[in-house]
Amino acid sequence: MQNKIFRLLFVSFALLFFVSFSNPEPVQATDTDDYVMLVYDSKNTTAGSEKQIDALQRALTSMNLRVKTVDQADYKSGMLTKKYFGVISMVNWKQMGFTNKKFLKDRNNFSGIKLHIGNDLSGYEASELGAKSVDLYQQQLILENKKSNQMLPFSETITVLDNLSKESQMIGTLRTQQADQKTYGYGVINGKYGYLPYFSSKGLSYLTAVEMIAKLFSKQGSYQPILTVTGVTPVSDLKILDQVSQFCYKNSIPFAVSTTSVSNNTGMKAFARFVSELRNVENRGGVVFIKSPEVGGAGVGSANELRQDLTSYVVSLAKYQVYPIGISTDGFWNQDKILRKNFLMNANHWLLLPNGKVTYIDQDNNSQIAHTSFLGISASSLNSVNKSYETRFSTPTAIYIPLPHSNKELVDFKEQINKLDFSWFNPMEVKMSTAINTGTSTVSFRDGNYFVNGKQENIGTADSSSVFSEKIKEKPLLSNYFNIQGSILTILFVIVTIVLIIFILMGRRIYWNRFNKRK
Amino acid sequence: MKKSLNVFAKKFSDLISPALLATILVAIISGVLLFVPPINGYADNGDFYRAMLSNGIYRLPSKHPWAIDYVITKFGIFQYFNEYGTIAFSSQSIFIRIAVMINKLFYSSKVFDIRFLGLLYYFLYLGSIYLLTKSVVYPYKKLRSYAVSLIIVLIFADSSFTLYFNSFFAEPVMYIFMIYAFASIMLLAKGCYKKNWPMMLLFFISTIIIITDKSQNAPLTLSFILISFGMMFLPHFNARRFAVGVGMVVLIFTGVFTYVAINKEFNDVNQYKAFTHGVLMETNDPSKNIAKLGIDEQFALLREENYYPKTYTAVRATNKSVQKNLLAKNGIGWTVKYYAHNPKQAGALLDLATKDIMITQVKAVGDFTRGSGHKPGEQVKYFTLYSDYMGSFFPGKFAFICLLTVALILTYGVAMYNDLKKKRPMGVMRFFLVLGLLTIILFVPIISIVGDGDADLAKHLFIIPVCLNFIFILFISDILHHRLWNTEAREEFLDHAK
Repeated sequence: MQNKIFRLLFVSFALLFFVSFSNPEPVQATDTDDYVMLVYDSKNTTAGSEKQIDALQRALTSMNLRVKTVDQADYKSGMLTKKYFGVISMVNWKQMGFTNKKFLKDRNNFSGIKLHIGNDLSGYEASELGAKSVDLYQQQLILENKKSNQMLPFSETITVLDNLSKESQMIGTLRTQQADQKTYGYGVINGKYGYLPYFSSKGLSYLTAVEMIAKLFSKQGSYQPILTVTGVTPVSDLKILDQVSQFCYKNSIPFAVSTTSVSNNTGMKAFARFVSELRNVENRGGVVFIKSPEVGGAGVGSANELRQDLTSYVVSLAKYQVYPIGISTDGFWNQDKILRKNFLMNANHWLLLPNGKVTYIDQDNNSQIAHTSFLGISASSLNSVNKSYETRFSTPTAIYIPLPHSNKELVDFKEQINKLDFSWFNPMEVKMSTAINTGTSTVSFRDGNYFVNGKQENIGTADSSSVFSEKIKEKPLLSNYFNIQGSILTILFVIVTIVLIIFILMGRRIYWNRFNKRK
Repeated sequence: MKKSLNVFAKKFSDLISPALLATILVAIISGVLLFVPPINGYADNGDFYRAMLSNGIYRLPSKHPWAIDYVITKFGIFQYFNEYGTIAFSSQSIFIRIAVMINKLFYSSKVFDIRFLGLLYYFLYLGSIYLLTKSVVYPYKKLRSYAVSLIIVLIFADSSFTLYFNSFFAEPVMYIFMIYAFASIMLLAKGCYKKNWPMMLLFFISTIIIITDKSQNAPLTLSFILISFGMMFLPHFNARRFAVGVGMVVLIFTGVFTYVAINKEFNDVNQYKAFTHGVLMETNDPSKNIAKLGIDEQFALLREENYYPKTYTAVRATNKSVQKNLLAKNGIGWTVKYYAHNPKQAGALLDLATKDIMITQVKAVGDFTRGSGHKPGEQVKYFTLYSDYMGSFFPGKFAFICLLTVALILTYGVAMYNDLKKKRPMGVMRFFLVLGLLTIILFVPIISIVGDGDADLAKHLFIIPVCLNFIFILFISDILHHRLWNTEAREEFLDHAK
């Protein structure tokens, strides 16, 4: 008996020890429960609707779902295999809809999770959802979710679900403005089936859609948002960045900075000033994400260069005690084989921002996942959303504000942050373990401490002005000699020229006479 | 024996003048290079698209994505509406359009063969060589005149120049019409033709074509005005002095037009390059220097960045910070001020600019067609003796160019002084011509550095070796004909002057 108790105690201690001291490794999900196929009807670039595909892809990545995105025109029979955990059909252009019958057939036969976004809901899909589809015409609806509401833009037609079955769940509601004020579900989930009448990459619609999708794929969590300052570059106005970090520090707001860096010219004073400002960020409770560079005319052969660039960014920053905890990037980087493999995959924490200028190198539309991917949502798009200290998000979320460019913008910036009354995610206090591997070195962040190749590093206090008091190299010994030599030569040349002119003037007559004689 | 030789020489010179000899030789030498298969030319360095798309020509689909290694001879002609319009205004378009028209008449309405453009340039070029030779040897037909014509062939038929003809580069237009402009002035100065106006017209038309060929040629206007000023000294010419004045005004307007036609993006590109490839170069750490003159020192980190990044970049030139804090501040005025404060750096950059000034062959692109059995990017060695020699031996120091300028101005100044006294136009016109050419040689490197930095230097400086060659040939011919200081009284001129 005693032996038994002793054994039980030992096992429970061992378990406790294991749980508390083991370092949670990035959870690489098993094969099938994280693959999702996203099929869309059209990019509809004239209406800028490719942004919605990007927003959806990023949201899915933040839920740790690997997404294969397919244009319906490229869909071939049998592509939707059992490997996929779910399928999303997205109507991005009302006038287009799904015309690929092979896809429609495969989707109907598919046994996993199915989500339909946008109009053009087939009768079969409505029956799967256990509801009746109703078309609303010429309406301006109000979306409501958790005490927040948002007036939607006027829509000519919108297909909503009515007569929902009892098992169905509604995430967010759409209310008409007519006298009877009918209410329909925005996100509707019925078992494995889900429906969203429209998708928008902004505001309450986006948040609600993300919440609904996370729930449908059983990926819903509860996350505090991380405040992120984007658009920082080595040539940004560093005084403003300084004021921003000071403001956050004084108001006890933890924050992240997403900044690009340079791989050349890191020996310049300007670079020292840039990193000293980032060190200030770290000392004021901020963390740094390395932003992926802008893609110019790079080709497939640039993979090596990209890898070297990342190494150079990380090494040159670490040299000045700036330790990035992850990579921030435009969504399309995750859809590109070269960009993803040679840059993103080196970090296990990503921050996914909407696309700026899109330049693919080798687009494959097979997005991958990291340990944690923060979904970037702009602060300005949350104006209509009810924000409170208790607000939580369904996926890891970064609420971003671009770095101001002037003092006037700085005032607006501060005001905007004050209005965002969230309880912010603090990487320093939460158990968080990140790493960036660059082949030669690993920069990691654990429980508020920074490590380079496993060795803990401290961040020295840095005053940006001190960088400039560095002594300038003394003049080389012989510089005076060369200066004097230069002046002597100049004087010599002037004298020679003057003599030459005199000679010419004097010799002119003699020369003349020679010709006269010959004549 | 001696007599029969003399008779032969007389007959030969009656039959074939030095100018004709040069033209025939040039025709054969460059004809072989350009039109005898496998043909030669310059491959696309990535700049062709502007000239092509503006004129309804496109690259035919090919399994070889890179055009830089081999010359492409066949291009497509747009069959429908050309949505690209005019990307950048250029007088080069006139010649491409004529070539396309001839191509459509004789060859195909769908495929454009670059050789039609080459042929058009070729004929214009032969004409210019004829006039050039005539202008420097006139009125002589001595043995030494034939020597001069052979030197002209050696210099001006060098393959590094004629290779341009089989390409969409804008340089051939500049090259050919610079020769016309030079020749017209010298022919006027020597009073070769009874009527002056055809040569005057030729001069003004040529210079207008040159100025409008490339936006960076706008500053050349000033040099051309200087050259045309010499025409004011033509005798018996009061009535037509007005015409010269009108021509000069037209030139000024053309220059201003070309300058104004540079669109904002082009301007931004140049301004960005002038900063990242100029102001930030040839110095250890430019951070402090730019900060002193009011530009955020952080922009020093942009050293060697391109407006259109080649691979990856931390910040695009269209970024708000760059637009607001850099491009809004670093105009030409600022750049000039910067170099005035940092003369050593400016000197180093100018030396950099003049270092390879006489290497005229474009080394970055191939000169052969695919399938000609040559390696990718291989260079033509045929008839490049002059450019090879000059490329290796010409002193690449800006100070040398300055000294050369002083020496030449003094030399030709003496002749001008003499002729002014004797009321002869030649020395005066020739002086202004040399002066104008020297201002091009002296100021184009400065303008390039201030306006564009060290980016694409070789292409910007193309006109300098051309101008230097003019001065060389003029000098050689003047020495050989004993006309350097004594332009020799010429009866017909003296008559008019009275």
